[in-house]
Amino acid sequence: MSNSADLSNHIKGILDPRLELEKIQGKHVIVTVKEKLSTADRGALLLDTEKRLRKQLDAKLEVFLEPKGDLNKLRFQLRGVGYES
Amino acid sequence: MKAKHVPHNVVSVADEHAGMILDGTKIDWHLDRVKAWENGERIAPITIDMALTRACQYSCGFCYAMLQENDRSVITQEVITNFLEDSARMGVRAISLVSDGESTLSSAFEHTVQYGDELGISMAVGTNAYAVTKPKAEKILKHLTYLRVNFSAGDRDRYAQIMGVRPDAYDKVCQNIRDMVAIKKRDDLPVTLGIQMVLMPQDGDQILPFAKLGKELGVDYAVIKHCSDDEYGTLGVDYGKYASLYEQLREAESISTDNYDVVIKWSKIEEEGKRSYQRCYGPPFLIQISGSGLVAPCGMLFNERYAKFHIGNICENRWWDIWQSERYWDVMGYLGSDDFNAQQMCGTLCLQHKVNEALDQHVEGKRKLTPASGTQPLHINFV
Repeated sequence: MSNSADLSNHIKGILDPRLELEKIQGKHVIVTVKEKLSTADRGALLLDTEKRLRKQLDAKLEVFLEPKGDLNKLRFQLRGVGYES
Repeated sequence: MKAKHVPHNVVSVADEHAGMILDGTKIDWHLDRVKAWENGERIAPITIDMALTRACQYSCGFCYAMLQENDRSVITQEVITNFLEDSARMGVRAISLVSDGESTLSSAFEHTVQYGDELGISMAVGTNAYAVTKPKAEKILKHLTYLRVNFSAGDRDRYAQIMGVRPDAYDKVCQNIRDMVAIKKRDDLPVTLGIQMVLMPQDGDQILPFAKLGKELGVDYAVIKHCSDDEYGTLGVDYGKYASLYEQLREAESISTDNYDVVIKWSKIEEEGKRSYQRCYGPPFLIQISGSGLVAPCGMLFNERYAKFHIGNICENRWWDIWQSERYWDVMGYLGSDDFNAQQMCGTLCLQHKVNEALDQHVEGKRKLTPASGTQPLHINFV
């Protein structure tokens, strides 16, 4: 692949229509799922996509969703409590 | 495959203290299932580690659960009843209520412990014990193989700092532990009671107070373990700094008596978060379920980020159907294939680490698993 724009275009051409490319970070391909799917169906779609990208573009590509932040309000408020000796 | 259930009264911690394996794996006591896996059979997990909720009233600084957020569903009593019945039917041997939430906060908690035991599944709990009051302990202890209290300090004020609660939580939890110890002694229960410290390198001042507190409270053991981190080092655990704590850890071990073990998970601490293997063979034997009901091969893959590994949700589908699905076995196959590299794609020191290590050496022919012999270890079904 000559540059990241090329890679991005190639990935977009391969992605299932239910997925959208968010960004590429090194070998990590971050996508979003555009419609509500069951846990199993969504997982299968993503893993199949990774296999396809690896086969057609680069064997080291990995597919991820954006990470989800902690929803526990208490932990969120108190996280980072430090110890002053 | 028929499950072989080991009744709680077969072994007692009072008689067999030396038989407790906290820093290793018991997979060689389950070679029937290893053999079936090698033959390509779709085996049931030996052990399931799960939570009944993702909620927690504590906010420990090292809590890995903050990295495990995923779409939340509520595990109701009906869901867990179906789940337990499916687990017993398929041959699951043990369920530990630990994972990514404080299961004692679930309204289905007591039912889960009691019904799981009635179905012949060894049950265990990891908890901060704030909600395990005497009446609750009276109901659950007789059904448990072990109950482990997460207690990552020895001093009252440091407990509050490290675990993110008010200092009086320390007093309440200590009393709850004393009550549990008294109930166990009164009824001569085989349940093992322990406390666990997740040691962050900067909290080394609490090693000895923690070890001494366990002795004073009268629990069977106190275990000190490393802190896991994700592949990006989000929690900031500096594994190189554990070495400076070795002297204190050895001193803590020396506090052990005939009735009280201080156990250091040396093997994991000394490995400094490194793995000797690339394939992940452990999940078919030891799978994890989030407090949201999400079935994933490993707790480190609970976050939405890793949705490609998410297999199903017990709040959406029956556990039996999830286990039988092609999706379940596709994911397991992928983790054990050349496409997966745990050294590069995983966080540090996962729950399956020791099982993975043993299975990898077995598959590679470096150390073949052989039928275990000698005295059966405690908590045998918790691999």
